[in-house]
Amino acid sequence: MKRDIFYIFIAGLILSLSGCADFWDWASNQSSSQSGNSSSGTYTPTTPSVTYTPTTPTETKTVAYTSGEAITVDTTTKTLTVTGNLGGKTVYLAKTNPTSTLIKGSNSQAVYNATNMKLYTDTSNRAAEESSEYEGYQCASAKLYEKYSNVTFGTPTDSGARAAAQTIDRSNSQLELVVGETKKNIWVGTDVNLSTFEHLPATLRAKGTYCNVWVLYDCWTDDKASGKEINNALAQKMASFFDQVYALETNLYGKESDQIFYLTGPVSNNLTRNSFALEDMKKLSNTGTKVNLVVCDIGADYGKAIQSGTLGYFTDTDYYPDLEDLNTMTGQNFSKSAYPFYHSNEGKYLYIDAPSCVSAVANVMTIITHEYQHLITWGRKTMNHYASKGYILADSAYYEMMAMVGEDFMKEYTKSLYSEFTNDNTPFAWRLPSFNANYPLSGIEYRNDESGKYVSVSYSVNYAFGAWLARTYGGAKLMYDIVNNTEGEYFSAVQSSIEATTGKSVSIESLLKGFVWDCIVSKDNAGFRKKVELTSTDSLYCTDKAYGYPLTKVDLYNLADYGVSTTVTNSEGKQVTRPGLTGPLFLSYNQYYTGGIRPYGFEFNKIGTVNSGATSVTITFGSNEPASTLKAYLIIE
Amino acid sequence: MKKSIIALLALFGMSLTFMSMGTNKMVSVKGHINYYGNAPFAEPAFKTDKGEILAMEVAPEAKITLKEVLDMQGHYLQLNGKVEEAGISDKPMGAHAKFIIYSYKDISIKEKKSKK
Repeated sequence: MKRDIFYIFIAGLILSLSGCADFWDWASNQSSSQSGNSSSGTYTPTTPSVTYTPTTPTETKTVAYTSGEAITVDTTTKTLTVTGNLGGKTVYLAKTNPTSTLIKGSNSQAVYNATNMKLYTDTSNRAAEESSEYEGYQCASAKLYEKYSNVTFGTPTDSGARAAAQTIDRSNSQLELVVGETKKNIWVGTDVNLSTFEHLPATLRAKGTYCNVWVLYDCWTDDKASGKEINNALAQKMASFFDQVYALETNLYGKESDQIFYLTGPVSNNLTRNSFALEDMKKLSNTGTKVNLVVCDIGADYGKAIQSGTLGYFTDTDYYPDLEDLNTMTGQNFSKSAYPFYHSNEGKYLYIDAPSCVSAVANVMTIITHEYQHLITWGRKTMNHYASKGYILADSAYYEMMAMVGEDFMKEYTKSLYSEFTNDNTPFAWRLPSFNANYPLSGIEYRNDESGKYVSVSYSVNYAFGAWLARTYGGAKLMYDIVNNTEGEYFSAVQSSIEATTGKSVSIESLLKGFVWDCIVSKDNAGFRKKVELTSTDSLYCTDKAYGYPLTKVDLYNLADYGVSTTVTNSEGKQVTRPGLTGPLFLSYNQYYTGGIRPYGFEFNKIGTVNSGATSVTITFGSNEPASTLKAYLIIE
Repeated sequence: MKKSIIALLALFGMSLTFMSMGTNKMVSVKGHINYYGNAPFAEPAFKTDKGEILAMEVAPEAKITLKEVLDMQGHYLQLNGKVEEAGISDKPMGAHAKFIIYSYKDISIKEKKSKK
């Protein structure tokens, strides 16, 4: 009997432990645990993660050179001979990673030797290098929108019923908007991480057809603008410029959303993403559907040593009810710590840093163009598809790429309108030199860490890719489709739109191949250097402004031609030559970046210049074990 | 008496089994860290191979930190832990669920078998 007892007990324990260790596939079962709008995000990612296998190159291959074509270098290739009329040509190796998995440096391809050519060992375009290690490379100074806000909120709690739930409808009780008189308290971010928000008084200082300009009390002067105080002239300029941008951007992408998240009645369970319904914005917003520009000292950092680095922002928080309205509509008593949207201003809001605009009025144009594009993308990507597709979350890299390409579309118009706005205020100057100099540090991704040091490089890479994409695949028509399709994932959105607008089906691998080709081969009317503009008969042409959204040529090798400043201040306060003005960084023939090739990233080597009259070269690869996912190309020009 | 003991022990064993088969099971998911929404309010989440987007939280008893997990951005990861419904405070808003992380493993590289 004792044995029976023992067996029963052991059997129970075994069953118990096997249940604990049962790592079931949540993903295949999650549909039963979701409710409401669980259809959201059902798109299949085109970019699944992958495990790669290091390969040992052993093969010897010979290929014939064809002008204008990249030669694919398999990861198994140990020795590659290229034949043809090669004398005087330069040989490059472009390595790409078309997956979301980082390829370690030692799993990158690296040339050991090459015959019949003068090997390239010069890395002089790393002008601002402050360390022999690439990681120590001095990045171009960070400017806009580069802080990751590490916001934390409390656990959702509902401390019990407060009163009967009531509906709210402000459609007939809108604010009377009188410039200089109407006042309103507005929530703004008041710490450098934008994790603290304060409800501060502002006055309506200007009105446009499509916007209101609110200025916080401490950012206004009736006198000359200075410090963090703007004056009437600057407020009027903001309103006037916004109306211009409104016409141009809505014509290109479509109008932003006029709806807002709304609740009717108590929330039975925890408040979740599925708790909300959509209603007309006027039901909650006392400024209706006009866009509110809020001029404030973002991060309250004026004159302080630590800066937020944020010149403007848009937050989708403003598309939710604020805490008071939430509690009124539900009849419950949610606390501030339990509701992350407590600081919603309920409507369309863009926030503009006053000191930045006082110091350089051109920042007004940059900020408004960029942030309004975010507002449109949020509306057309998430709000417009919410009822049919659920909550579409869009990649950060996608958001920022679209906003910077939006600046690209608007720059010629803005330059023609305001003399103070030049190429130095466009992503040509802000992003392309950093792309050229620092691209190995980020792929086409939003790379972030606690220090935030990689974010500005991510912006640069995303802009460069977006600029190339728009010029290569149809400009305005492509970008319209990317904003309006139902894909939230970066490459899904891009691939879907290329197919929709050009009929071409492209893989991520082929996109990266085309991109790196055009980074290296700089020819007129191709790739970056292709000028794209709508004609007056095109449906997206802006007839009111007689504007065809021109994308002017980008010459990565002559950025100084765009008036980009040629020096920068380094970390020691010294003026040094600005890196990245004369083309992308080329590692020498046998180098590889030890940090690896980032997801959707790339790396360029210049192997060397072929001897005069040579009809073949042989390239031998070193002892690295290339990742099975690596895609590498020889480019000979 | 003996029968009672047998019955009690059997009940004890079975209850352990049923407890372990409850809804709050340990699971594993594969994918990578990705960021969502516009800056400066971009939020990290875990994107699974099947396209689900999961808010992340590290279990109090886990021997890792969330920073440690976020620093693995770019790596193919297996997270081990529990799935909960995402609440309003779980970021990013719109995540399909929340994943409570107990441990993780970098599965980016499949090492070659060494030749004998």
